[in-house]
Amino acid sequence: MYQVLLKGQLPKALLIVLLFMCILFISTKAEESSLFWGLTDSQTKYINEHYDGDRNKFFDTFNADYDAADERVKAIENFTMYDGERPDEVLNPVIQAAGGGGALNVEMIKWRRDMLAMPGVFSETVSGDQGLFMGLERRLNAQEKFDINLLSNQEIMRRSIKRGQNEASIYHEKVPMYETALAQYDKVDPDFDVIDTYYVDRTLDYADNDYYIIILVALCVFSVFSGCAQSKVSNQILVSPGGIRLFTLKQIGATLTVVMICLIAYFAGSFFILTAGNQFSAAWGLPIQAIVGYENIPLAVSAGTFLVIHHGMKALFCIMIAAFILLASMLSQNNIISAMLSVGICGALMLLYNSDIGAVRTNELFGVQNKIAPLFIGGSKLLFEDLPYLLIGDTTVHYALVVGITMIVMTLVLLSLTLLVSKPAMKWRAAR
Amino acid sequence: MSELKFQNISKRFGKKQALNSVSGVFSEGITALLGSNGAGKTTLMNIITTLLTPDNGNVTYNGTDVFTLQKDYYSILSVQFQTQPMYKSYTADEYLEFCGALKGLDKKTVREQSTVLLQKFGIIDARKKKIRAFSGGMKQRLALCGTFLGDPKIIILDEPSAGLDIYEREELKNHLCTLKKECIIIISTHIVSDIENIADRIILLKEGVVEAEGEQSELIEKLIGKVWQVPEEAELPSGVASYHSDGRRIVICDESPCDGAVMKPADLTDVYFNSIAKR
Repeated sequence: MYQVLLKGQLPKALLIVLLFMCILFISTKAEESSLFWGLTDSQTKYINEHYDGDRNKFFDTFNADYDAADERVKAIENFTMYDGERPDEVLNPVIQAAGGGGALNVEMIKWRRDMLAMPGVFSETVSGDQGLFMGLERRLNAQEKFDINLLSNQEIMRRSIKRGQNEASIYHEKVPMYETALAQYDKVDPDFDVIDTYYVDRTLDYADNDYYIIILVALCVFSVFSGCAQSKVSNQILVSPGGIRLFTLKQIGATLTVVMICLIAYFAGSFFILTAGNQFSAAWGLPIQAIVGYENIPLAVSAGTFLVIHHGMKALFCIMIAAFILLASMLSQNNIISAMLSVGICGALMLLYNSDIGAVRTNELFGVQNKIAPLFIGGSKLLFEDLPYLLIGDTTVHYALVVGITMIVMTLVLLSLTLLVSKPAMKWRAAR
Repeated sequence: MSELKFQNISKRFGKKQALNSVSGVFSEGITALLGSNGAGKTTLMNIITTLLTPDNGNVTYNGTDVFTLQKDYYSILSVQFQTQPMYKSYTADEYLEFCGALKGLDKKTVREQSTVLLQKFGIIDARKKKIRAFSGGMKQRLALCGTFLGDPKIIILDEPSAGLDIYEREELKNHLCTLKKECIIIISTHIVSDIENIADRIILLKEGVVEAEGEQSELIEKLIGKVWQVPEEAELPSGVASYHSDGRRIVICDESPCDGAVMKPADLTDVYFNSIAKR
C-alpha cells in the first residue's frame, strides 16, 4: 500500500520540486550562474579593474571611459534612429521615469533626446541608467562588504592566536589551526570576485529559501489526511481489514518520503547557490572560529562540517514541521481548515524566525537563544548572506546533538499522536 | 448459510431519531433496503459496516458481534458508499490497486481481477486515465469494480445505480445475480427498478422504522386486488392518496375508489408507494 500511496503523492512532490527549482532560477541572476561556471560579467570585471575603495573616483573614471568609448554618442544615435517610431513599451518607462505621463508626444521625445546629450547620462534610457547604476552599486557594496569581512576575519585570527598563546585553555591547542586560517586569509586577493545574490531587491530572494521550503513542505503535507476525510476515503479505510492505524502509518511513511524528496531538492539548490557564491574553496575547511559568530566557541569543527550539521538540523526541522502539519491534517476533515492550521503553524514559526530569536548572532555561548535557535532553523538567512564572505552566522553547533535528539523525539511524539488520534478522528467524521 | 443480523438498532442524531429499534436478518442472496430519502437506510448501512455505533442494539455475523469481530469481519466485507471515496489524482488502475491493498490482496490478484471487472463494467479503456477525468457514471462503475474486488462475502451497496445508464444498470443486476448464491448482498436504494426482479428480500424503511419486510412476492401478494388505475380527472374519496407510475394514476385501497377505476396487477412500485403513503 505504501507504494500506491507514494505513487499518489509523487506528482505533487515533483510539482513542488519543480516549483522550488523555478524559485531558485528566478531568484538567481544569469550573471551569477556565469560566475558559477567560471565566467565573469563585464561590469564585475570593470569594477575589479578600477575600484580601489573611492566611489567618487570610480564613477569619474567610469564617466570618462564611457565618453572615451563613444558609448554616449552611440546611445544618442540609437535614439535618433528610432525617433518617434519606437514601440510604446520601450518609451513609456522612459517617460514615466522622467516624471512624464500620458500620450507620447513630440516635445517629450525632443526633451528626452536633449537629456541624453547631458553629461552624466550614460545609456540610452533613464531606466537603463538607473539599472546600470544599481548594478554597479550592488557590486560595489558586495565588494566593500567582502573587504571589510576579510579584514575582520584576519583580525579575529590574530586575536585568537594571541589568546591561544596567552591563555591556558582549549584555544591553546587551536593556535596552529588559527595560524593556517590566517595564512589562508592573507593569501586572499582583495579584488576577489564576489556576487551580489543577496543584495538584490527582488520579489523572490534565494536567501529566503528556508521560507520557501517550509511553505512547500506545508503545501505537500497539509491535505494528506484532511483530503482523505474530504474525499470520504477514510470511510473505506475504516472498513478495511488492514485497519486505520496501518494505513495512517503507511501514509505517514509515504508523506515523509515525499518531504525528503523536497528536502533533497532544497539541499541541491543550497549547494548550487553556495558553490556559486563561495569562490574561495578553502572556506569549507576553515575552522569554525574563522566565522565571527563562532569566534569564542571551543569546538574543532570546520565550516563545511558545520554546514552539513546545519542542513541536517534543517532537514530534521522540516520533518518536524511536516509531523505538526500531519497532525493538524488528521484533526481536520476540511482541506481549507487544514491549510489554515498549517499556515498558522508556519506563520508562527516565521514570526519567531523574524523576531531574531532564532537567528541571533551572539558570542554568548550559553545564551538561551542558542539553545532554541535550531528549532527555528535559525541563522539560515545569515548563513546564505555571509558564506560568500566566509562568515557563517549561527551559534548552534554545540547544541546540535541535543536539539537534534529533541527534534527527533518531538517528531516521533507528533507522529505517534497522529497514529493515536487517527481512529477516533475518522470515526468521529464518519459519525457526522 | 451465513447470517448477518441486526437487532433493536436505535440511533439518534440530536433531536432526530434516525433509527428506532429496527431489526432484520440478511443471508445469502440480495436484500434490498428500500425507503425514501431520510428513512434511515444509510444510517443502518453505516451501523452494519461499523462506521457508526448504535445507541442501542447490536449487529452480529453468525452470532458474533461485528464490533468485536473487527478485522475478521472487514476481511469479508466490501462496501460501496453513496459518495464515491476516491483520490482524484489516481488512475483507475491505481485506485483498484489501492482498494486491493486495503483488502490485503496481492498485486497479481488485483491485476487479474481488475482486468475482468473493468472489462465487465466497460471502463477497461480508461484504466490508465486519472479519475478526475472520469464522468459520474464512470466513477460509479469504477467504485463498483473496487467493491467487487477480492471476492467479498458481504457486499453492501448504497445507491449503486446512481449515474449508470439503463444498459449499465442491467449489467450490474446481472453481475449481482451471479454473485448472490455465495454472498450476502445488501442494496440500499430508493429506486425500485434497481432491485425489482433481483432482490430476494425487501426491507422497507420509513422514518427510522421497518415498515414492511419479506420476500418480494410476499409483499406484492398482500396488495393483490388493492391496486387501482384511476382516470386522471377522477375525484377521490377523502383520505385516499394517488400516485403516478409509468404515466398512470394509481390508487391503493380495498375497494374501487371511483367510477372508471380499473384493478391492475400489483408490483414492487406499488408496495413502495403503499408503504410511503401509509400514515
